[in-house]
Amino acid sequence: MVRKIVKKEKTKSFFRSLVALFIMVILSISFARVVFLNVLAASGQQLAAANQETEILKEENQRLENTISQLKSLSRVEKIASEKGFVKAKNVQVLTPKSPIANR
Amino acid sequence: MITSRISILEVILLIFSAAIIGRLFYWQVVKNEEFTVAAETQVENTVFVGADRGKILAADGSVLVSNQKSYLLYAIFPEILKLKDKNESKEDFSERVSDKIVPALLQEKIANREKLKSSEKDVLFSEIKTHIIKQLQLKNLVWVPLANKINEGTKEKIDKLKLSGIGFEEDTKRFYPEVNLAANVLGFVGKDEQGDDKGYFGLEGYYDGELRGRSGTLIQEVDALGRPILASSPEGLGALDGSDLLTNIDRTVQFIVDRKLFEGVERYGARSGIAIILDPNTGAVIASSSYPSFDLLGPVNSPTTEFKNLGVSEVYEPGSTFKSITFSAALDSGSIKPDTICSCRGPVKASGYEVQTVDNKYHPGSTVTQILQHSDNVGAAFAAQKMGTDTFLKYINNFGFGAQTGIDLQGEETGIIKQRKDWHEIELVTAAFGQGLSVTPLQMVNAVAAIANDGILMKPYVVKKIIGSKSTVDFSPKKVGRVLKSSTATLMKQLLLAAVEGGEAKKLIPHGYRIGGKTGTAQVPIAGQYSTKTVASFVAFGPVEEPRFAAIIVLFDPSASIFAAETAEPLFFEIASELYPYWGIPIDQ
Repeated sequence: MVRKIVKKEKTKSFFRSLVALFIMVILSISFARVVFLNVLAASGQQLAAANQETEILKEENQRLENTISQLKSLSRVEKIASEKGFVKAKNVQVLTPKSPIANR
Repeated sequence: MITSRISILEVILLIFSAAIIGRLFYWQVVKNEEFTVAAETQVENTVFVGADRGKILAADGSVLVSNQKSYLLYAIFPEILKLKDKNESKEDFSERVSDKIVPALLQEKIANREKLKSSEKDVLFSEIKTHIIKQLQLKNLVWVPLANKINEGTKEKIDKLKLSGIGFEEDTKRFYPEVNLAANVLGFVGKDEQGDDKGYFGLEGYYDGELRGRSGTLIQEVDALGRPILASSPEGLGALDGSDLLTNIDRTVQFIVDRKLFEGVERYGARSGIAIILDPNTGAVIASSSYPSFDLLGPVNSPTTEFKNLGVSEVYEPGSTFKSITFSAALDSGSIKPDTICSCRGPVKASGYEVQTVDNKYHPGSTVTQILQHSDNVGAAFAAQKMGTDTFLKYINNFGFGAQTGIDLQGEETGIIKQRKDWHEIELVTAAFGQGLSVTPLQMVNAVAAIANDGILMKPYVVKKIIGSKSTVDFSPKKVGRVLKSSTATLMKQLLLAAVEGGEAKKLIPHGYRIGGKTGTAQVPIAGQYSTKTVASFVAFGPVEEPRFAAIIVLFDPSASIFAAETAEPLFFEIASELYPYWGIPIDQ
């Protein structure tokens, strides 16, 4: 009889511990979620700033690409070459090397 | 006493509860839709995400067309009218405001037009000013646009004026680092009926769907301060930028051709001109130029006739350049042989008409080589008559005349080849020397490119790759088919080399250049009769042994000389003398 009561008490105690553990896990997860959501929500500002920064960099990149294209443009290169005194060569011919001929 | 107080409290609570329930009913049921929308706008931020239009690149990847930030300049009447003096009329006020704004706008318009005369600048100034004044005098409006697509520099200048009621809205516009290079190949971007950007003509028109991309809308949850909440992912459809086009256009060759054609048209007093350079082995369009051309920086100021790429949309009678096709067909079909002799004693009679040579001189006993060298109409008629209409027409169709080549440019014409039932003896004879039928310059050069390419006709194409953000589409060269036997093509290359080297402009051939080609001087039919107007053209390829390029030069109505040997052919040699060293093509020593 005593044995039965002790066994029952042990089972009850185990069950209580399990419930307590379960509640603690739930509370911890809920708390973690609240903290996580709070941090995430606060990151909105950082996201907005990052988005804005991306846009600015994209625009800057586009502007620089356009500047490079403009600086490389043939009409500009020709104009500068002409200002620097370069003269277009006339009658340029490409020759192929002649086959070597043995003298003897 | 206590009971009655409790009863009073109960009644008060009941009334209070009823009021709350009533109010909740009003909010939740009666005003449900209105508050739902209000709540959504408070917690959601809808962002329109525009797509960048794709770039157009030259064969080496350098930029021909890109995008740049621009602004819409506008005025808000209630604000700007605060600047008006009490005694000042609206007209005077509009003029005063426009006088402040217009110099900055004009400066942008003339930025890349160094050759603009001061009188032209004055005209431009008054045009812009008139437009601004007209806009500022509009009635019953709060907001009016004053200028579209102005650049950042202009915005800054106008900003410095500190005019209240003048504002800017961000936009983008096309950017042309090479200014007007290849304008007729590129086309331009205008507006559609909805006011959205749309490509017109050339590649902008043909590939508008690929270039424009897809705009998107994103719905993001936001906090009370409008900052995005990361706990939820944004909904909606993101933007997809337009694809880039990698073309076969060699910007150096295009630069040379654009300039030489402009100089040639001016020098020979032509109404207009066309030049096309193809790779005969692939059909790739290396350069294509039309003159006059429109201004890419302000297409609306150019006549609409200048928007077309004349290389694909102008139809003309090719004249003697077509003899290259006539003899290719006659030799390939076995109707004549290289050593066939034409009696060629005098005019040819057909369908009651008499066909003569241009100078009314005849060369009895001519060989095929001599017929081509003399550009003898009677000799060409002789070859066509030997072939017969059916055979000749079959070759004409096989070479791609009378149908679109399928090039990726907007506005391609088919040319005009009469139906078989309408061919009589005279049609056969005149077609032999390129009259009585019409072609486009592209068809003509592509057909001669087939001779250069061992008898294989290729499909001409401008874009070799569409580079999207998610995928890339490669366009490889496409064979249309074999139009000549290899042996005929080899023979024709030698005959066309002889035609150039024994032709009237033989002294102008740059030393060591082995170029095959044919000149053509055709009369222009007007109202059913041939007029005094002419089309001078030269179609060629080189070097003959291993053709690197095929080209056509067409000059419409040249006044300096009607003959192609004195206009189009020398112009071609000028272009060739720059292409040979550029490509490193060795001369024949």
